[in-house]
Amino acid sequence: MSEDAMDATPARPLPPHHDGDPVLGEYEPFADTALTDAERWPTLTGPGAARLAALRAHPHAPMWVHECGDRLDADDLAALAHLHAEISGTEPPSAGSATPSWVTGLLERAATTVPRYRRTWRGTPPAFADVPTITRADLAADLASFVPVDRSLADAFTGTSTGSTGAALVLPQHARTVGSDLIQLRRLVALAGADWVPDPGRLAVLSVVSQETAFTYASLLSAFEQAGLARINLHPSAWRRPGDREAFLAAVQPQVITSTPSALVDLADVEVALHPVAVISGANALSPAARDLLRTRWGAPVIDVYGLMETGPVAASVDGGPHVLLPRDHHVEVLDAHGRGVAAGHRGEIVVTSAENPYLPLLRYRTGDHARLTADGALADLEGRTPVRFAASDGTWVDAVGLTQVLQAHGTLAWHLHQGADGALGLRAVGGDEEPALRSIERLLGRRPRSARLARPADLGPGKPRRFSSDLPGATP
Amino acid sequence: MRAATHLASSEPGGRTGTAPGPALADLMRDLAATPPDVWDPGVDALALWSDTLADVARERPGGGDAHGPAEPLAQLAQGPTRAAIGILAALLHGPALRPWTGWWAPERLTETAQRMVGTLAAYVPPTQWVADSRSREEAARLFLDLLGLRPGGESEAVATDRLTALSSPALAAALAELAQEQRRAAELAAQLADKRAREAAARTTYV
Repeated sequence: MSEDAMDATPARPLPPHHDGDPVLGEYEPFADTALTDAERWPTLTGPGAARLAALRAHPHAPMWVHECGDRLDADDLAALAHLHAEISGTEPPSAGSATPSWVTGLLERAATTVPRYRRTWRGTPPAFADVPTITRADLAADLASFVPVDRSLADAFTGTSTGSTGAALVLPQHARTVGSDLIQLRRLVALAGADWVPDPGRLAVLSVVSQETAFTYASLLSAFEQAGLARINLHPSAWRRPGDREAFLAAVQPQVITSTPSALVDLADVEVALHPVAVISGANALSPAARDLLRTRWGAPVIDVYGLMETGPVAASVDGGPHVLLPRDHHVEVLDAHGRGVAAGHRGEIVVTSAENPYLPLLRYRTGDHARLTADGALADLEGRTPVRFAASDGTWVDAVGLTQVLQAHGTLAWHLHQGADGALGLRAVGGDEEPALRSIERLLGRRPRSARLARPADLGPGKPRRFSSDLPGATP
Repeated sequence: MRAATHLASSEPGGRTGTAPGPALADLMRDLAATPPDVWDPGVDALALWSDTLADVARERPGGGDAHGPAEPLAQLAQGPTRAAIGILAALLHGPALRPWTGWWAPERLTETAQRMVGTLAAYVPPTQWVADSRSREEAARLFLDLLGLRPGGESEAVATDRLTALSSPALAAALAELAQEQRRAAELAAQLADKRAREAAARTTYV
C-alpha cells in the first residue's frame, strides 16, 4: 500500500487505549498476545512478512493493541483451495429440505464420541427428526459434553459468543473452520458481480468496529496470497493523531470492508474516499435504509451475512432479498413452536445442524432467531438481533456493544437497559456487581441508570430477553 | 465451566472434596428396598425426577422453573433406562440420604443421574443395581462418589480404593468412561484458558 510522507506534527504520547475503566483490562495493549509470527501465519513468506511489517508500522496506523493471525498451515490452505473450487459454481442448499446424507454420519459420530449423545444413544442414533434440539443454555451448562472425545484439543483457540442473556460463552474454534469464512466471502462477492483478487497496492480486508474499546491489529490472509487485513476502531481514542484515521484509510484503500451495520454507518460518515469492491455487514440486522445509505456512499454491493459465533456464517443476502444459505456443512431447519418444520411461506425459529467445527458439532441448535421460509429454501424477513444505540449526555451516540462489554465485565448475567424519550436510563439486571456496573455505565453515557435487581433471567420477561431498547428516535439505525 | 464429577484413580495426586456420607450398608439397604413400581412402564420418569428435585434438592432463591433442571434427562427417561431414574429417585427419598435433603443444587442431582443412567446403566443394567449385594455395593459407591460423598466411616483413600479396586469389569468400564469425560472437561477448560488459545484468530465476518 502507499506510504505517506511523515507528517510534521509529532504524535502525542500513547494514551491509554480506553478511558481507564480498570474493569476492561483485556484491552491493555498486547496483553493477550502469545504466539510468534511464524505461528500466526505458518506459511509466511518474505514478501508477506514485509507487507505485515509495513502495515504495523504505517505512519498513520492506529494504536494496534493486538496481534492475530489465521493459523493456517499448508494442509489447511490446500483444503481451503479445494473448498473454493468446489463451491464456486454450486447451487445453494435449501433450508427446510430433506435431511442430507452427511447428517447420518454426523449422528453416528455423535453417538459414539460426543458424551452428551453417547450417554443416551450408545452408538445407535435415532432418526434425525427424533434428535432433541439444544440451545445456548445447554452449551453454557456443560460445554465439554458437546466436544467429541476423540479429537486432540491442542490446536483449539477461543471464540467468544455474546448471547441474548448477556453472559459470554467461550467456545473452542478451529483454524480451518474460521479460515473458510474468507472462502465463503469470495463466493458471495463474486455472486454480487464484483471482482476481488489480491492487489499488492490495497488492503484486502478492512474489519471495522466503532466502540470505545476494541482489539485492533494488522494481519495477513494466508489463503489470499498473504494480502493484508486490518482490524481498526473508528473511535478517536484508538488513533495517535487527529487525521490519522482518514489518512490511514485513504492510504490502504481496502477492497472489502467487513463490519456491523452501525459501525458501517459510522464509517460512511468519515471524510475519506473509499472504493471497496464489496461491503460485508454482519452481527445485527441490516435495515433497508442502512443498506441504501451504504450502497449510495460507496457504490459497491452490500452483502448482509447472517450467522452466529457457534455456527459461523449461515446465510447471506447479496441484494436485500431473502438470505440464501451458504454452501457449508449445515442443515438448516425452520421450526414452529412445537418443533415441527414450517411450510413454505411461514415463520419459525432457525435451527442449525453443523459439522463445520470439529471441536463442536451441533445437532439441531436453536439459534433464537426467526425467519420466514421461502419456497426456494431461503430465509426471509430475518428477525435477529436488532442493534440499538444510546444517547450520551453530551449528545453523542454510544453503540450498545460498549454497554455489553462493561456489563459483562462486571459479571452481569442478564439485563435489559432501556432509554426513555427523555434520555433517562433504566436497568433491570440479574447478577454481577451492581454499583460498579452502574458507575461504568454512567462513565460511558454521562447518566446513571435507575436500577432494578432481578433474581433470574426469566424475570426479564417471556421469550428471548431483549437486552437493549430505546424510545429515542435514531436509536436503531 | 462446571466442575467435573469427583472420580477416583485417574486423577494424579489423589481425589479431593468428598464429604462423609451415609453408612454404605444403609444405602445398600435402601437400594435393596427399591419399590417394585419403578419397573412399571407407565411411570412418567421425567415427572418423577422433577418431583424428586422439588422434594430433595436445594431450593432456588426466588423459586424457579420446576422442570428446567430435569430436562437433560428427557431422552434417558424413555426406554430401558427409565427404571434407573426411578431407582435413583427412590434412593434420594430413602432414609439413608434423608439428612442430605437440601444439600445439592437440582442441576447437580440431574448431572449425577445423567452419569448413572447414561453411563453406568450402559455397562451394568439397572436390574443389576438392586439384584445382588455386590452390584448393590458398586452402584451405591458410585452414586455417593458422583454426589460428592464417601461412605460414612471410610477415609478418602479407602473409599477411592474400594470403588476402583473391587469393581467388576462392567463397573470399571463405566468408571473409565466417566474418567475420560472428566479428563476431557479439564483439558478443554485448560486449553481455552491458555494464552496461546486466547490470542484467537483473525476473523473476516461478524456473526
